Amino acid sequence: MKEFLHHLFLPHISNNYRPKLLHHKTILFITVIIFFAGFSLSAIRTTFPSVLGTFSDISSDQLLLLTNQKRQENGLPPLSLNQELSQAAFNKANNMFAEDYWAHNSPDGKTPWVFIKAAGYNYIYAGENLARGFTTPSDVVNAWMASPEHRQNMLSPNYTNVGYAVETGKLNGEDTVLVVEMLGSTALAAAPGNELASASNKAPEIPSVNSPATPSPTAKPANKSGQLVLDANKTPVPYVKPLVDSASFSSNIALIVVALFILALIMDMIVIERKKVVRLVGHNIDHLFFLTLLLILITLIVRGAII
Amino acid sequence: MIKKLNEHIIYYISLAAILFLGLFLILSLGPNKQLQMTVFVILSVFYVIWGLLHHFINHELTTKLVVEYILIASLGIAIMLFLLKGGYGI
Repeated sequence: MKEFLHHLFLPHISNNYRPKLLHHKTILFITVIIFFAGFSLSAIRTTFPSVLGTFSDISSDQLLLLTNQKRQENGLPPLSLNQELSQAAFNKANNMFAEDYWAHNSPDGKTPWVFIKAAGYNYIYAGENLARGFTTPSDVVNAWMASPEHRQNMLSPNYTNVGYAVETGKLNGEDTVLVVEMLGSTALAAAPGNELASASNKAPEIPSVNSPATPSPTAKPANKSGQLVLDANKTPVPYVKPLVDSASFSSNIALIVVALFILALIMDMIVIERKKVVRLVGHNIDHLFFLTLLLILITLIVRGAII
Repeated sequence: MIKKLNEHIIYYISLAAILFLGLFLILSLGPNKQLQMTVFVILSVFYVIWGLLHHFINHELTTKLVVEYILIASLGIAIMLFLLKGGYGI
């Protein structure tokens, strides 16, 4: 075993003073294996989603609990889970999957407030936070809290209700877990400085990020044909947690492979420098730069996103 | 190694700068993983061309070197594809 590792990672007479892992045939072999493994994983994901799939440990209850903890820490009253807002969040999530967009407004111009109104929630204040690609509720809440606009939404004294949807589906060609948080209030919260009479007549405050000009509370949401295309009766399909999270699995394998190549390149550089062996190979430093870039990418690309 | 770094310092700095810019671009494209994959492939092609151009200027370009750079870049692309196709189903 020791000899094998030596042969694989250290330049030696047995491997012609170049680690076996860095031989052309070995790189080609590993490249082909990884290439086909990627397609095989994809096929397994499609065929056996209960075995390998998009993992999510996020639930509405946990999101509510964590959000209220943050509000409590900031001296704010807790939000209560609202069925209409949850239905609006669910409809919004499904609309995002159906129309394939990652934005607050749909490609045909439907704003978040359309979904809230359609679910029967007559808001005075409303806001929306979106997240995708996270696997735990704390990651979602922490990401929102780290963004000033989303934080402002979560900690706004104007909201009394919240609704959540946690849905899995394909968005922009990628299997993902989408989290929609809809915040609102039907009556003004007792925030200092709020004037009930004037606030009730003006357009609702939407502190959500990228929020467009908001419709008045009486605006009728409609599509091209004048009808709102929302399935308010559609109910959430229970999420079946896969045995293995494909994203973590593939990123761990990718990290190991890249790290092994980086190790072999570093060991090769050190030993060759010490032994003063003259060879005609590419600059190891070039390859190290490239593979380090890949290592950073693998680490950072798996993070979720918020808007 | 230090000697080699000093000899080719401009090359290494330019390579590192462009790879870093590529990294920044790819991360800023998130969460559009298809676009991220496309930019990574372009970055890998650049890495091969930049490396081979450098060896060509230094009169040390051989077929073996060409194959080596292409193989390392292909390995990188295969790993990214494995991650994004296998892990995220792009």
